[in-house]
Amino acid sequence: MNDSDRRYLAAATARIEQLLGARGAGPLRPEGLTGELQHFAEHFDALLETLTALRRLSIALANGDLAHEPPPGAHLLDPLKQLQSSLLHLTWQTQQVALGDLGQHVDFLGAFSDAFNQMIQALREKRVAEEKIRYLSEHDVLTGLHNRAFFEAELERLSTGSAYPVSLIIADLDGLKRINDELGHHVGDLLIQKAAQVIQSGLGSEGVLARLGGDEFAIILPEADQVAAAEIIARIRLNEAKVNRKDTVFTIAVSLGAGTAFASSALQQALRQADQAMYEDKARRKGLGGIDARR
Amino acid sequence: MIPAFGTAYQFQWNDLGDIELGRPNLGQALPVAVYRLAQYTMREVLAQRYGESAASEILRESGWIAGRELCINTLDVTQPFSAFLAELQAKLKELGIGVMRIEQANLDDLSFMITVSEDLDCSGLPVSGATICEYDEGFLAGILHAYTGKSFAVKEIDCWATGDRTCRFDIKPDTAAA
Repeated sequence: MNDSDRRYLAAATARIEQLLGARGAGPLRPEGLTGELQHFAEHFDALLETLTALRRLSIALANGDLAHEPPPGAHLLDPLKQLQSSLLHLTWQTQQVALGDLGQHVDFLGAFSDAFNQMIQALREKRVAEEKIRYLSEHDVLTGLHNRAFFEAELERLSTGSAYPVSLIIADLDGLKRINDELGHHVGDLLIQKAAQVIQSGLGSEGVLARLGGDEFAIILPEADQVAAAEIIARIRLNEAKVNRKDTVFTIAVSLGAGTAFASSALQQALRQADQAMYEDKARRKGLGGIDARR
Repeated sequence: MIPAFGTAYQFQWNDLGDIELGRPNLGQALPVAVYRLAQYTMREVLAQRYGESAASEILRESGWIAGRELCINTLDVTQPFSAFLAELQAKLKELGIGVMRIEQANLDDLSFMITVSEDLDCSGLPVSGATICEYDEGFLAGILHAYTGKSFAVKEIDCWATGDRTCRFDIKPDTAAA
């Protein structure tokens, strides 16, 4: 062993102490060592370089720096690279959750997986509950139609829109009070449901149908003039007659009236117009003997 | 990458046949070793006849057709990208192709870094020091082409065959093809 060998061994020992002291320790790159020690030194340098890379990656991960790029081919780093990869994927998954994707599932991070998946499940349940609350706030429980709150929100939305002309139809179920008094509210409820079906079938997929309360329904028809509204009323009438032909015992009668607004400022006027037309229809049909004493 | 022949190839999904009808007893599954036996013997013959580089390119183009056809025939390409990636992940796992994870996904410039663990083609292979999943590169490019209509450059940067435990693919829009 010559002086170079001895100096190298001292330096190598210092490097090991640096590593054990959690400090960086770069390669020594010695030259002129004797035979096998030179060979060993080259391998020791490779180990030092890998351990340095390992230390850098460890520190990066400990500091949450997932963008750190470890050198290729250093397989001593593989478990940490796997952890880095898992954390990167988890980051992406969390971003998806933030965007509303609650289908994410983690199965690669031990106990954390369970906690993450429980959190997702809780968010799913919260979303279902929120959707249910939103549905209930916008729908009539008895008929499943939209409710007055939704109708009024739609009118408000239309008041700032440009889907004109807008036609409104008011529908009023005849004879509900008498049915409630004589046969009970549960039968009255059935009549309301039947009327809702008749109106909805007549309307088809056009417009928005809402139950405003009691025996009153309303239809919003964006981009529909008087002719289009009259066609919808005719379809509802046709459907009403068809249903009554099938069931001559439990018949329904609906009074209908329409109003049309050609600008947002005329929406409320159109609503009053539809209401008035509905009452005229009710009176006319009553005069014709088509309906019993109503309301 | 897009093969020189583009989408003008003869293969159709129906060419895979009615496997349920044809294999009522043996069914759909087969050992991974059998798949690799076909894959690597074919690679060997291609390399012997045309050279390593051409063999790699042929496998990459084969993978491109496979990825494109799998996407068109089994995935919903009308859904948003994130939902599409989620469905793709689930499909690759269901088919036993691999466990795909997304390390980075930039939907603005369509660049991705993804990993595939337990890869059908390479996981468990002897370490040769070189990436070997050209078929997967084409496969991923084909899938993304079917979804976006764009050409992608897919480069495997880590592979079981290079000593890594997961395959890592760097995916970018193929500016050379644009």
